[in-house]
Amino acid sequence: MRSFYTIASYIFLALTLAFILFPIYVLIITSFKPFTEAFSYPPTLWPRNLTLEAYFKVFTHWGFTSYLINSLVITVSSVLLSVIVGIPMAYCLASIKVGKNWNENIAFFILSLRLLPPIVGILPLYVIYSHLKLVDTYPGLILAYTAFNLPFIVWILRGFILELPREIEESAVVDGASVFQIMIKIIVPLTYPAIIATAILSFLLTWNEFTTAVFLTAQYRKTLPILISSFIGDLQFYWNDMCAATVLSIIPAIIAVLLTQRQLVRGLTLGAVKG
Amino acid sequence: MPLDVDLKTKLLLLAPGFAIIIFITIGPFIFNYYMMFFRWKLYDPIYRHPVFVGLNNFITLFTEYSLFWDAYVKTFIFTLIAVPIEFVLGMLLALSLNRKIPGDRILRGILLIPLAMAPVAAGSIWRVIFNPMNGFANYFLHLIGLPPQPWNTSRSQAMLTLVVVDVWQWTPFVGIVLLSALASLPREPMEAAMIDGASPRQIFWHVTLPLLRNILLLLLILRIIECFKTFDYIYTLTYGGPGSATTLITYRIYLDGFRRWEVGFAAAEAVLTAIIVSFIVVAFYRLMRR
Repeated sequence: MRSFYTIASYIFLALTLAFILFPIYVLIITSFKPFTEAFSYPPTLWPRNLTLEAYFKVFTHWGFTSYLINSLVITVSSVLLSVIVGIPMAYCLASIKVGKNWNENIAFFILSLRLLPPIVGILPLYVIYSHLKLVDTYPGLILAYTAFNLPFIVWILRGFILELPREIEESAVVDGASVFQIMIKIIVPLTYPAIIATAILSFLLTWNEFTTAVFLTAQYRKTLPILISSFIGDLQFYWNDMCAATVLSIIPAIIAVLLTQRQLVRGLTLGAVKG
Repeated sequence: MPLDVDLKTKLLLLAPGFAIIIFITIGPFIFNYYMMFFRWKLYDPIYRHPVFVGLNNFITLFTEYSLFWDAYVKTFIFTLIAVPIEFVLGMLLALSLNRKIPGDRILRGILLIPLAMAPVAAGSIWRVIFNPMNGFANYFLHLIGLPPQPWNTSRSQAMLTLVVVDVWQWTPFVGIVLLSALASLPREPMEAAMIDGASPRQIFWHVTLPLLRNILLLLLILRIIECFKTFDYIYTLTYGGPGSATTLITYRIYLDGFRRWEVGFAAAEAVLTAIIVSFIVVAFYRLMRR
């Protein structure tokens, strides 16, 4: 009986692995195919003509660099801003009595903002942004992503701060440290790894975000996911170019995921499962 | 014993974050409740300037605009197919990995790849595979002697292609989370059941699964919320079609708000959607508390 389960689980794992890896394989080989081969039938499982054509074209014809710069500027700035603004919020909601039962409620309220479909907020935000001339600008996009990252960062970091032993803070208070000194000299150094992991996870979510980006940009501030979506339409099929752009833009995301492996589960389940 | 400090310090800590959240999230959300009373069509010669119409948008939604409710039906169908598949496969994945196997670290690394992939990219790659003319899906069908299928270009199969992409992207996530949950379970109940002579299957159904109840409920609510947000795959794979075959709720609001520019009407749709999603979240929260 035991060996039956073992064999069954190996077969299941092999099939699942094939299912997960096949699209990745198609992605990589297609990015090395020339245009005509990418669209030929039968599809080739190994490129007949290995070429870097698509990679060159992504830079020379599709302007990959400007999308990359937009993605980097917007993602990095919004993650930094939301960490800087989020740490005091998380600390306040974890350690300082805001009001009777308020800490828990405020924290959950902030989190609940993230549970609604983003389109619910983006539509009115677009109307407001177009009045304020913030559509298709760095400040507009950075602020929008900061607001989307904040609930996540505050909720997760609050969980980590709550796990710290209270005595450390209490002895600091006895020694006459101010709230800001405690936060910067004690809380931040102690939760440093969690802060980094949460920041990387926010980076991943922002880097891949599409819904907000596609509505709040028009021409100059488009990010990489928008570029990826633009290769295939009803009348155009630049499959090899699309795959090359995807391969290039997924690299930072994969690094981010591998760096945060341990905290990833905790982050994505909003702190409920400690990986 | 939480610290008690003066109001000024609390404000200094909370205000910057709240300012951003109010400006980007809460403010616009409340603005929905204003917009929903207007006929307001952006870039339109007449209705560019909002005209107050009272509850007309809601009357339209509840009496004649069946496309909105159709989008809900599609969202529920999508959720009811995709999420159970992800849970069954994810659970099997977690159980298979929850034992000593060679190379399990590499395996877990591979499982993370779909999570790292932008959903637009996932949709695009599957579109390459599902392409009815020369994609791999039809090529493999041909190899085993089956007729080619229209996949994402047909009313009956478009939903299936969306489900495949969703299952591809989220099954590993469900599996990894359940694996972590399994690893953190106490060992004693399983050992006690084993000593009492329970079979592995009995242990799973009567010991492991009840212990995982809250994690499963949490995962379920996260996945359902995510299904309501589904947009990227639709945008790259089916455009909500053919017809309205794959127009889920987020895509419907997008079509009305950003394609027809009927922002007042779309605000009414957004408000109703927010209410419906809140009900679902609260219902699950109650279930978990029990």
